[in-house]
Amino acid sequence: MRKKNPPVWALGMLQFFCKDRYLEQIEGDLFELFDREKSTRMARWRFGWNALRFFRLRYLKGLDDFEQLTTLAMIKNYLKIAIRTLIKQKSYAGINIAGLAIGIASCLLIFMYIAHERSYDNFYPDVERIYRVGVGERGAYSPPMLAKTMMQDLSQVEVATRIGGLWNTLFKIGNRSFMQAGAAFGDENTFEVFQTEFLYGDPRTALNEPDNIVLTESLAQKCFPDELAMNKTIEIDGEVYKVTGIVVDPPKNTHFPYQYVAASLEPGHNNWSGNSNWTYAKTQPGSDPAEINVRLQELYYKYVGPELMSFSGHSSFEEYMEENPNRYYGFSVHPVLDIHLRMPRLSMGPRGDYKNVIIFSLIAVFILLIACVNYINMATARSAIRSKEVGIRKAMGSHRKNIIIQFLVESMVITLLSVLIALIISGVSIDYFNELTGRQFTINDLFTSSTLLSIGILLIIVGLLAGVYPAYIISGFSPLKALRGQMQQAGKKSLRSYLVSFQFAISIFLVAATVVIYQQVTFMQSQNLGVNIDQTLSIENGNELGDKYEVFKNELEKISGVQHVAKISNVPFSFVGDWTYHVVEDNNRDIGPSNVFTVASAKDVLDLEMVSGRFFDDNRVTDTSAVIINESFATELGFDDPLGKVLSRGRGLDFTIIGVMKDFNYASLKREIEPLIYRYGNKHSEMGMWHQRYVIAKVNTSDILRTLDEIEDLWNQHVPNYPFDAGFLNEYFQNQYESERKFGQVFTTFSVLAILIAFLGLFALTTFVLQKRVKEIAVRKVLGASTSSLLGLMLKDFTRLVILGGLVGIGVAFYWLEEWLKGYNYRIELSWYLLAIPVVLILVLTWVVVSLKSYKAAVANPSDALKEE
Amino acid sequence: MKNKSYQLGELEELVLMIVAILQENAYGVKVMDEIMDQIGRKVNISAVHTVLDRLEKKDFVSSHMGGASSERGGRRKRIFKVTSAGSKAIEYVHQTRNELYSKIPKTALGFQ
Repeated sequence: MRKKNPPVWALGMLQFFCKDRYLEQIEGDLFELFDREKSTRMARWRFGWNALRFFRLRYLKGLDDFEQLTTLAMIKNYLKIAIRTLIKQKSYAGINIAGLAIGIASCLLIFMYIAHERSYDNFYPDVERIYRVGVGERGAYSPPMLAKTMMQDLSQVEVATRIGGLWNTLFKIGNRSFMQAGAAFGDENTFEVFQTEFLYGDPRTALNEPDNIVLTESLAQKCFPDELAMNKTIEIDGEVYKVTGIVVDPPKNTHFPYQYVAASLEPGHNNWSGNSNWTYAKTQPGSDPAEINVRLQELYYKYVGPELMSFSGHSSFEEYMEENPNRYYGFSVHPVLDIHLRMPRLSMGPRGDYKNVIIFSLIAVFILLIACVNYINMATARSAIRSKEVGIRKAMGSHRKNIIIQFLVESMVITLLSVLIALIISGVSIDYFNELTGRQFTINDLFTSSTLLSIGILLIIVGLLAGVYPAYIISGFSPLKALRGQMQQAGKKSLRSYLVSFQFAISIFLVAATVVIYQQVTFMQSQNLGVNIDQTLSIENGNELGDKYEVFKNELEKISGVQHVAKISNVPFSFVGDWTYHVVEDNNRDIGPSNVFTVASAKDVLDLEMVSGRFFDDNRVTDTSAVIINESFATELGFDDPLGKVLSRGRGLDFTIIGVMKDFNYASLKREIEPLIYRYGNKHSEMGMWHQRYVIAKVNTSDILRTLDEIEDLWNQHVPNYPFDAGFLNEYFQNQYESERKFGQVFTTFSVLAILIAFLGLFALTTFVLQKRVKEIAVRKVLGASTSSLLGLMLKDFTRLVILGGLVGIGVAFYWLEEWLKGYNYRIELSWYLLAIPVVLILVLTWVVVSLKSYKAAVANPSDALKEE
Repeated sequence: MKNKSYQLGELEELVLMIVAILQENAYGVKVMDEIMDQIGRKVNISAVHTVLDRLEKKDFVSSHMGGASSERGGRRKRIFKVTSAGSKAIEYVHQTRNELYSKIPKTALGFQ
């Protein structure tokens, strides 16, 4: 009786794991039991089950059950040979390892940076459902009522919160007071959206009362060093708060690095016009952001529309929108995960840049490539030395495959050593790297699982990249020729030349970028701004002076060296909000200029130039309803004579234009000068006391420190409870170019590294070429060649390579830098000499390196070289 | 003094005796069946193999591969037989059990 066969999987499995020695008897017994069973299904099931039961340590195949014992032994031998070769050729190994280590260290640091940049905010639970609500294309702030209304009107929104921040505030605890950064206010839903671990307090109720405040662990420690901060009171900018929660500190990789969150007052119910909050919403699982955007548009029509119409006098909002299609500033959602890299302007913390991440990665890859090229060049150039070894191995029966493995093992050993040194280099240079990137990495960040993984991947990639080509070439040697003592030069000389050119191209590209970036930064810094910000002191928190400003001003002017004093709501190069004005003469137009409040003396402090009309006059009462605009605003208005024209804020707030200022840069030079409006500042103006947020003064003195001390004393007399905080406008201006300067530093650093590695390689290659040509040089010398002609002979080859690399490098640099400069409104033009500098620099360096090495050979006594043989 | 080398697990002891009973005919399935027949105990085939291997390692049994046949999927049997050390072990176990048994007071068993 023939039954069906036992399950194939069970047999296969048994054969896979079971030692051959036991396999037959076990299979036999299983077959016997199988045949005994009556029902086929049962038999098959039993067979499988029993086979599984044999999965015991005793029967499992061990290492000695594999046939490739010899492979292991050979790899041991390869390792031994690799280490011996390294020791025998110390200088070459050193150059290779140093180059690779620098390249790998750069890669490692940059990997760490990229991993960090991409990790922003991903620690919040459900972060993929958290969105930031922005206004139109550029508005980061949104109306206070938005969060509550979204929760009520939009079914897709699970919870929404409004947040303000981050500011510096004055803390008072007992008789201690200090300025505290990282201040935010939130509402009862803040910690529902951003779920955070509470050490004390209840996340659901912590911000329910208007005097509640949640501190981070570290701030709680700072405020109440030896006691529990819960339920203690703190006075912040004059308001008393009670601590109702303590949370763990937010990690470094967040766009919202708060130190505390205070509860805020309920917003006014029809407050839709002012954009003063950040709004965040957590959506219901599975809801579509596009759909939410549509619903948000409806919301905009319903709530914001009526307010806009109060300026324009249209009968319906639809009509208004039809006539002003470009005025739509509706709400839209942006994923919080995108804030750091894609929408850094929405961030409250460190800002990322997507382009920087890409550029950093490319530079890291370039440097690594240069180092790999060194390895390839040196390995193939010196392959002749190994040819006897390869010949003997082949004669003894090595396959080509074995020899390839041997040389790969060798490159892996070198890479491994480089990785170890790279770890040390990265650890040592981490502070410098932090300065370059503006982040705070620690040595621990080098040993996270993700960086360790990237180290492993780097090890394999670099080992293969550097090792495969030389291994392939060297393994192709003919054993007959090798053993007969015929020198075999592996690899084509032309390939080596191209690789060296490639190195030069990368170096030249990096130097060109460095030069141009620095030129651009210097250019921007030396621009005529149209406004005089030299020696202009800006005292912050002027609003704290209150009505005492006049007294303060008079006394300030008495200090020797202080020439003019004024108050202003926004100093140039700080953030300026844009407000909407309605052009009365031209019924359907609104303009949103940057809006600044100031007084008459600002003209003297900032050296403002008038094109037409006049500046404010403190003695004319009517100037409270007068405004001064800049040329760019006047152009946008388009009137022949803007003087006397009226701009309206709605609700009867009308302003007459009394003067036009010459355009000056008040924001970044990356942008064109945009419309600007100056309004007269007093405490009854729309901004209240914030109109005097800054007190600015022209200070002209030889002893700046003493003058500053006197000003500080004066401040402390008038505002004893608020610390003095002042800076020079020049510094604000310079700070704007911080990111460009960092960018320049990055390029400088990496071009120096790239050049260093490339020239290490060049040095080694020159040495080798000279060794090979030592007889040729000697013969030439005997026949009458001069030292200089011999040097020229050596230089000619390398000069050709530099020029070839220069053409490629400059071509790419030209294209890329032109793109980069397009991002700047005030920019330099690329000129031929900017791009020629790098080529000349590299050429000179090459000549120096090659001549240094060659000179010795050129002046040597030819008989030394020729007497052998 | 020689106790140590005769130390046997319960199943080992059982299998060793079964191999002795089966004489020249002991192999995996047969041993398993015999245990079932003799004392009605169900043992998994993998356990029987493990115990036989262990006994062989302790030199109480020896084994050789049997002849091929078309049965058992064409696989040969491994035939086990008791070695002299194995016989001694059985002897020893039997003796010690008997001695111990004889030392149990009759009353302790009689009234159970």
